[in-house]
Amino acid sequence: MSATLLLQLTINGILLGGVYALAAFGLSLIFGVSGVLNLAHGELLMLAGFIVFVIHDRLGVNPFLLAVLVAPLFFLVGYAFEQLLIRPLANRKEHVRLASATLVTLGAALVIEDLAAFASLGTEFEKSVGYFIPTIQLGWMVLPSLKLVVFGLVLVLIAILVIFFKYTYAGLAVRAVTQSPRGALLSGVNTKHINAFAFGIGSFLAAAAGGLEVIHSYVSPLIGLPLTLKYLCIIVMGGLGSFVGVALGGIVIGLGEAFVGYFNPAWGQTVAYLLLVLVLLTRPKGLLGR
Amino acid sequence: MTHEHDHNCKDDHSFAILSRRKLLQTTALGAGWMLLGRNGEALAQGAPSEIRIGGTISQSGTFQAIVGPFHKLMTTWADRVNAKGGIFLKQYNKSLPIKMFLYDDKSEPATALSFYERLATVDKVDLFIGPFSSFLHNAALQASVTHKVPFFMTEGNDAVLFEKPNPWRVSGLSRAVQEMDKLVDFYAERKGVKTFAILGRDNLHEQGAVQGVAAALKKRGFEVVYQDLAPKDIKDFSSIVLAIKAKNPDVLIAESIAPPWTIQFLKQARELGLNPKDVVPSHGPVPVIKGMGDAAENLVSLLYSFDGDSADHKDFNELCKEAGFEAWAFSEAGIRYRTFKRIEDTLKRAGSVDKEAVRKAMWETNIKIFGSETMKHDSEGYGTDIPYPVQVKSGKYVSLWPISRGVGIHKFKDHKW
Repeated sequence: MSATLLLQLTINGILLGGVYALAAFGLSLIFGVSGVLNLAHGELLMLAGFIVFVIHDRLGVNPFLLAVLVAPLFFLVGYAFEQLLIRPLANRKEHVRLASATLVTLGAALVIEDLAAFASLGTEFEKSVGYFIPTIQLGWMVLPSLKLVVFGLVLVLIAILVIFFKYTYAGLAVRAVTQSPRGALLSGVNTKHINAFAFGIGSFLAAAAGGLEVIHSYVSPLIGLPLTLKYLCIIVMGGLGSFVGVALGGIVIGLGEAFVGYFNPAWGQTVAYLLLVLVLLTRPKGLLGR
Repeated sequence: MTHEHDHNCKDDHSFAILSRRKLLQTTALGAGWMLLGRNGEALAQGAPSEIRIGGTISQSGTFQAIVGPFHKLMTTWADRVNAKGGIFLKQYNKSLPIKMFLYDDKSEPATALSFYERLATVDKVDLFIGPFSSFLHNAALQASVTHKVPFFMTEGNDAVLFEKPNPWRVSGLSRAVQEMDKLVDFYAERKGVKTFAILGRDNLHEQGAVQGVAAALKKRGFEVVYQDLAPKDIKDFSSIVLAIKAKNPDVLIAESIAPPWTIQFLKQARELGLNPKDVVPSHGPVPVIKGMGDAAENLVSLLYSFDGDSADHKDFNELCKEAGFEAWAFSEAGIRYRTFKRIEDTLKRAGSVDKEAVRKAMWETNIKIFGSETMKHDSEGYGTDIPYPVQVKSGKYVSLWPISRGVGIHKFKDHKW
């Protein structure tokens, strides 16, 4: 394998992993704050992608602009999701609450999936925005401009997240609840509100990833659960509760898919799960878990 | 006189009685003739009032883009047959109209099978018309065996479908491995290319087609520098594109019956600067052309029809137009048309909708179509249909067949796409 090819595969893997990481941040945040594994996370991503597709298809609005406009709406969706479906379970015993909440999110995932499939009846399920930006050629190497733009937006969002969590009261409160819900409560943080807030931010990130997904790839009603599983692999691999770990997990899986897929396309799709097993065997708490 | 009169009266009376009796007898005989004579045979055997044909077609899901308009195509065909009085069936001595029962299988095997079960048990169809793809046929065919209903396969030809003997099904298509034989013939004659890269979608039909075209190319002296299958649900093709790019092929073949997969692959190949002399999405209906935009110009594909002036060409073009699309726009429309012709011919020869009679007749198909083709089945049930090469010119497919004509028309994709 030549050095150029090696570099090209590395770039592709990082670009791919960046988008994975964006959505995985959201799942990790919800899990970190509320302890709930939101199995509907991939479905929210899919739903946002669908909305971007439909508006772009009908009105011809720029898909990047749509992705930016649609994602904040999903903050409200996530907030309402927690208030309506998760909050009612709050007074149950902890293990019952977690199991019930996870099952509720699974039910929500299936409902969203079915609704999207129903809405797609009479059309093809796979929706993609036919967007093309001329590529950048550097000798033999080609930089896919569209993915670079998508990756750039991912970086901007991550930078905003970092600033938010580091310098705002809400962000600090979220981090406090992630570290110790009881401690945060004793310090005067409204943990119930923070739970819903985390669902809102998590859903916002999923929607942002969905908007970008439909631009550089496609969404279909059936992609939600497999994506959630992949994001779960990423956050477990990176180390639960570690945002840097999530970024690292995303990049590792992106690189894994890029390199393995070069030699064998079929195994490229499975490598995430193999890497997870490998990491857990050597570092049971994940790459950066403590 | 009186006597005579009486006699006459008696005679008159007898005559009246006789007349009444005769009248009754005549009426009864007439009615009997009506019931048992001309139509009597039919009544005795429970003559149907229609020919019930059932199948599924993907109106939703992955295959919608490749066969969506075929629902209308099938109902239009039935309407056209019915407008001509239906199909004459000798056993009933009359023509019967076609009644179509069509369902949306959502491109899912389990859904397809459940509808074929329903067609057999609830709708009580006389014969099945197949769904799209070997993938769906593999499920749907089970209903033909279970319920002993003749199954006219359409776009299904993978070897798996023929592994077990099944007397209730025949295919119009030749083997999947032969799918690109005419394309290979074309490139052999066209000259100017030596190396090929083939990527298939990992699915029943495509597996066979990829193996087949690779073997055919090697046999004709071409070099296959890349050959692989990619998962059905793959979203990122960049590594595959790089692997193909490293081999620098003259021709790239994308074998997939799922237009979204094809569009994604070609878009990403274009984005990563893969620029072979020719790009062949072997199943490239109009949604693929639209999905590729300007980059679609000069793409080569395959179509189950070719330009011609036979009565079938005229009929086929009119049928497609009536169904709302141009014949070139949906590559598999030609398969459906041939299936309609097989069904009409089979029913005429069977002279009945009796399932065993139809089953026997469908295996004995041997008809001329499109002027130069002969449709028949081999002992395993394969047919004779093989697609013809076409190329996108100004946003629509132009036939590259016959080869002598095609060589003059064909242009290599000499621009960056």
